[in-house]
Amino acid sequence: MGELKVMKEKQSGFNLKQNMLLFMLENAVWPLFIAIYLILGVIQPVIFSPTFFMYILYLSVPLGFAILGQTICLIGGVLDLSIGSLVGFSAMIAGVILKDFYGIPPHLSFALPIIFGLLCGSFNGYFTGFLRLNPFIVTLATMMAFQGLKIIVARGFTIPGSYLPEIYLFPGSNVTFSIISFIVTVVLVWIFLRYTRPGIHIYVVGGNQDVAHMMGVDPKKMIFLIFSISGVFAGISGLYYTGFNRSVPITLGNEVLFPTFAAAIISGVSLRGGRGNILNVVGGALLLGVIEAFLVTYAVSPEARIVGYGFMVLIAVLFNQFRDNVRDSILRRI
Amino acid sequence: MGHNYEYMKRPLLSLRNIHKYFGKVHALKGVDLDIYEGEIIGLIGDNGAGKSTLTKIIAGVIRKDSGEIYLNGKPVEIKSVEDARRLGIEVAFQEMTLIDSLDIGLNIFLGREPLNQKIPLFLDYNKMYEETRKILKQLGLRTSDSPKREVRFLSGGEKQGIVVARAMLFQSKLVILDEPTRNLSVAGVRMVLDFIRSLKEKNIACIFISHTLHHVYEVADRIVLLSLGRKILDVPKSQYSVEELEEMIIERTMKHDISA
Repeated sequence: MGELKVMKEKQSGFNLKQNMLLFMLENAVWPLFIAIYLILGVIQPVIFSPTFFMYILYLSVPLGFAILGQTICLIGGVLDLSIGSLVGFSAMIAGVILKDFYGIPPHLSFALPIIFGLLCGSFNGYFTGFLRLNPFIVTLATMMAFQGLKIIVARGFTIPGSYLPEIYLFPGSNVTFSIISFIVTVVLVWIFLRYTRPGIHIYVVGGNQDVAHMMGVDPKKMIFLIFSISGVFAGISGLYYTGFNRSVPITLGNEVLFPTFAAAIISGVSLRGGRGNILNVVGGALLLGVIEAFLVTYAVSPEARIVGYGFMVLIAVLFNQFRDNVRDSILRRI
Repeated sequence: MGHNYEYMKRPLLSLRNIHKYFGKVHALKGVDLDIYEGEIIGLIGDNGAGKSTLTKIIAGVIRKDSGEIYLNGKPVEIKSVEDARRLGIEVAFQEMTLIDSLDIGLNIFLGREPLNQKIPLFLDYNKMYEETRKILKQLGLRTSDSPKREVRFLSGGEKQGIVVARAMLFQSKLVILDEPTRNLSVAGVRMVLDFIRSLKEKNIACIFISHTLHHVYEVADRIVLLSLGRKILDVPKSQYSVEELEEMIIERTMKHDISA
């Protein structure tokens, strides 16, 4: 009896160690973020100042919303290449309407980019979900379409913030509101994905569409829903970028797509679908934010930053692969 | 043919003249089948005989091209898995009803997750894992300790246990078990056979699909043989020994395949 107890304790101690390792692996993005923050802080000490830290948080918010959209797509086993273009297009068309058409109540102005995001996202969702077309091709096509539409409706010009209602710029320009609203959104999305039936069904569809179909979860409807949600987040991202810039530059959204992949993947979202924790994606967003802020302090050109983002995606995929392998080898042994 | 008392009653589910084409392939060529309450049907046949196609039509996974389905004598349309479940038809297709990246509890309740009584759309995780643990324990499965374990780390037999547990939990009028004994140890096979018998005790009908007669013979009330999309044998088991049946199967299959 005594022996058994000792054995049990040994066993549970072993499991505890394993569980801790698994916990570390699953949330590896946070130590990674802290490590990179510390390293970059040693090189550039200004990063350590509380004001600068707030700036990093603030800087991460507009991109963060787009990352949420992309993450939901990846969990659902699809990908949205059009998300960056849609951020730009929804911000631009909303800006043009607010600039050129009077009579839109300012307190309803927020709805504009979100509605356009939703419509365009549903468009993606209709073709990929109901018509069963390949998401890669569909969103590649709409990526180009939204990008072109953005330039057409802008007629080639940046919309200055002075043409837009002050209240429309508020969410993205007020540092405190910006950060808090993002945190609240993340928590809501996390609850949605983990604790509601449609949320879990996103994981189900991402895990295996055929089985989902067999068990009465309709992949067509779910993929339509996934792209619609992604579109809504693209619209919100457009709204926050507008406030952040206090204008709608013609280039808005051009540098969104790659960071969304990098952040999601480095946070442990599986490219095969069906796996990922939205809370960790915040870590991924912050990781990109701190790197971005660091590069800004050194006045690195946007072109060079794009090169950096390209490599960041590659590194993130490698990191993800490595982490999954270690995780699986532990779980298989239990 | 055999005037078993069961044949005098009205069937639970009747299939009449079911046809199914996959492109040019005529997968089912007018199949009739009656399933009575609490009856165990052993559905056997080679690969490509149409066993899976027929059961998928009953389960609402695919749709028939022509023919009628009656439930308790009334014509019904089974257009989706939800339709089939509403009519009390449960599926236990092996390997095709589990999602590897999700845990055991979510897999058992897949598509039918228990909802919170107070907050709409929210899942009742406590109930889900509690019932999962209970049913796995009832089946004597080792996995009952860890209902949150991801399914991809389970062995073939353990996975089958999950499928059986699901069929058991959502006890319905008709359970379709596709190759439930494949990949199982001797003890596992015994467990499945006991499970099928317990379905019968609860008056739940069961279609037990297998490649071989030997697996189904022990529990089946009736043996149905499909070959190349046609039903070529439909006999009550009680009147024949396993050897007699085997002989009949070989004879009928050869005759049918030569004429086809």
